[in-house]
Amino acid sequence: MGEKSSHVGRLTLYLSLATLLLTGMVLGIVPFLTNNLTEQKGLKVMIGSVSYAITYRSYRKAYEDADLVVLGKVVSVDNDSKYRELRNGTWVTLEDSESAGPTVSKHFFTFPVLEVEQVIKGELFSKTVTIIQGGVGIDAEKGIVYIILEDPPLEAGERVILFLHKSKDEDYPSTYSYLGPFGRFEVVDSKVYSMMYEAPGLKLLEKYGIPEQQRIEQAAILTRTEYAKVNGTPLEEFIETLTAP
Amino acid sequence: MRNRILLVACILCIFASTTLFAVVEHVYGYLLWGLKWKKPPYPDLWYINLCADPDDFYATRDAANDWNNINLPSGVRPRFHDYWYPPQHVYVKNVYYPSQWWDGMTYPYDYNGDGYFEYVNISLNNYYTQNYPRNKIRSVIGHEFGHSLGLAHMFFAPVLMNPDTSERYDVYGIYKPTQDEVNGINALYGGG
Repeated sequence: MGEKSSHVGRLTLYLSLATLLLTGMVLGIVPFLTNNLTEQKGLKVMIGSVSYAITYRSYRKAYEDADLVVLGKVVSVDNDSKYRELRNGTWVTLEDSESAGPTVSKHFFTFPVLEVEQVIKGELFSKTVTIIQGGVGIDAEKGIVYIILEDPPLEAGERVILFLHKSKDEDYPSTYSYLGPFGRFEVVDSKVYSMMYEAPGLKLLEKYGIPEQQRIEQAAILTRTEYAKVNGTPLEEFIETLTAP
Repeated sequence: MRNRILLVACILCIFASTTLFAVVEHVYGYLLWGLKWKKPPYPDLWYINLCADPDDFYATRDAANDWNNINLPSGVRPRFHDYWYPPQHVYVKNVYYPSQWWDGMTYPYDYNGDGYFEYVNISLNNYYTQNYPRNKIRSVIGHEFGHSLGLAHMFFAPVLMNPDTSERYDVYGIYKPTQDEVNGINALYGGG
């Protein structure tokens, strides 16, 4: 009886310890993004973080809202910057920052050019489309490249499906924008991947020394959404789900 | 007899930890960005509010005060001081990026790569914030101030560090630091 009670006592003790350990793990913290600054070809890499103004749970809703949806390959990437200031309620772009007051800010832009293979939605009267990405890109003056992990810079050679919107930026009226991870899918070997997955052989931030896992952790906003289903979906099947009535 | 006492003690231990888990306020947790401020300057952080939009300007001031008033001991609680003279630790500016998908953005500067902030740039995208009510802007800038202290995103939770403004503010109505953010700051600067 005494031996049995001793066994039960030990078992209960182990259970208690396991409970406490598990509780500690659940409540614990997992520091990630251990280094926000690395160097690449003399450029400092600055990793930023954003608050999302627009999010989607359904990629089909994002598709419906888009003006133009294309499958294509990035053929080149350009960068630009502008100085802008809010004056009497209106935003103005300045020629330079010489006459600038303290509220002038430098705006960074990246312009990937996409060679379009297929227009899935909308009309396009050229073979290429220029994308505008704001707040990311290169500040050559300071030698800094600014990156948002959940929407890494598009690189030449990358094959993507983009849900595009006509740009409302008056300085770049002929460009299109997309809504970060909600409007971008990677295509590898005719299979489609949402931004919360690592497409085979595609290390989007490798050249900056940033592991894919770090990028994927920041795309966690997609995890409880329809985007989570897009993990190696055959290209034709994915396009069919978009265009189905 | 000794074994019985041990058995009863263990059962009580499980009961106590389960009860404690059930009755305490649900805490969603926090994540850290991997960067923090050295002490000093922490807890005294000088920020410059360069927002040209009056609503963004006042929301920034209110959000800084929200962080200054969190329930932590002096020395652990941040003290953001609004001061119109460089060098500052935190720069807050309005920007205008139409058609982009974000309303607030934070870039930390750690040129030395030693894990400590040197300064932080915060941008409020006035393309969106010009149509937000004051407390929604406060929610965005409060979130960005959270990054400037070293906190990372906490997805889907009713906390200030939730990156989705429509969920954080429109669904949960959060525009001030919650207990989760307070715990995060305590972990970063209070040693526990």
